[in-house]
Amino acid sequence: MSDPPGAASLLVRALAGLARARGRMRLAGLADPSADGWGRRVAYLGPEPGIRSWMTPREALLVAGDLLGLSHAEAARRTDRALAWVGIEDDAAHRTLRRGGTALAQRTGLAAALIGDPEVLLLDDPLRAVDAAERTRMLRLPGRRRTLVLASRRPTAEAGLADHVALIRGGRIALFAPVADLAAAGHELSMAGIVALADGQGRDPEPPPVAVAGAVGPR
Amino acid sequence: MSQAGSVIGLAVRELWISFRLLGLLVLGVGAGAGVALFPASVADTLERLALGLAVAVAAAAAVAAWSVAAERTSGRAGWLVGRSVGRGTLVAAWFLAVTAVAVAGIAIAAGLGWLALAAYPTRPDPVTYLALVAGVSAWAAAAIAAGILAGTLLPRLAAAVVAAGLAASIGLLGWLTGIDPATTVPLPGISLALLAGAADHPVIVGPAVRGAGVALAAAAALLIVARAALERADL
Repeated sequence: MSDPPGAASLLVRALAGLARARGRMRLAGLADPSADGWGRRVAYLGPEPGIRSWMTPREALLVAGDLLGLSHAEAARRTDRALAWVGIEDDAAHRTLRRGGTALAQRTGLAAALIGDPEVLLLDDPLRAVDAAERTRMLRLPGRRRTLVLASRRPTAEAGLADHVALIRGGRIALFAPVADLAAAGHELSMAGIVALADGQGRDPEPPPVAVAGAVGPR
Repeated sequence: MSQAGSVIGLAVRELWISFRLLGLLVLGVGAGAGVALFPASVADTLERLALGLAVAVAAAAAVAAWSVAAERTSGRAGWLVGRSVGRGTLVAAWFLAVTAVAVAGIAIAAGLGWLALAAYPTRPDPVTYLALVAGVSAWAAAAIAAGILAGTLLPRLAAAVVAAGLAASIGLLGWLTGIDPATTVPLPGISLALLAGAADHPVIVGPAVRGAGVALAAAAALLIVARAALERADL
């Protein structure tokens, strides 16, 4: 979360290597998006999936797998699994995104982000065209421990997803705390509650032990 | 398939589905058909062919600029970068995709132009004609590279207009510097001027080859700058 809005989104995009930024970072043990293996260990999903509208979901995922260096058989297996997870049925999987609409495109974007089985998922206000409950289900990823870094303008909608919450203010992390601290302080998971908790602390918090990648999650 | 091959394939499909590929081919074929279907003197035929090719090259530069700007601003380039595709690979893929289509159009136009000149004993000899066409193709590569650079820096429409204007003006500059091979400055677009004036002046292969070399060197330099610009761009 950030005040003004947009700073968290910019941070997530910078972590993903899509926005220029100064400084150093380390995600999943990798320092740079051009490092070998980045695409398989770190995935980004923004408000717009960035997938060509003439592609079908299945085709987009197979291309994503091919670009990540997966064998065709492995890419096909992971495609089936990812499509099932995001709730894209077989007939929709063969429909172009142009015909399928925004929700199909956003589900496909998440599936493509999952195709590499990433350790870190950088989420910039994703899946807004999807029903909130379904969105929460899809983002509670199964399997191994992962770190989700979620930039959101509607923290109330992220209930059940985040273990920690961070507030960026004036280019600095003004708050980094477990979500439970909000309830303990009598605040709800909302922008107002987060700002109140940050203001109630009275001083800038100690920096988190890891980079902001640890700000939300792991689950 | 290699990652670069996959990205080139995506670029070609994007050009096809958006009808930009067809447009480039039609312009090339149109330049050749315009001289094949309407017979004229050797001088007029070569001049009209050169003019048609100039339009095709300017259009190719505009298509390259528009395509790269669209990839950058739509998030599609970011999607590829997120799959470990290097930004340099993006630049190279779009350059190769657009250049391949443009050169195919130029080759078709040149073939139709040669057929139109078949009846004239005063037409240029085949080696000279091929050297001139190769020079025009190299100029197209340079223009496309300039278009890609514009696409990394500007929005779609502005990039396309700047790229087309630059291609047209440098081609025209090559025309205006004169077409006497003895004094010709090896500008990137000089082959267009040499082609247009081939009927009136004894053309030698040297200036066309030199012009092609300059064009290819310019294309390489522009692509390096385009890659550096894309490395600094937000996707």
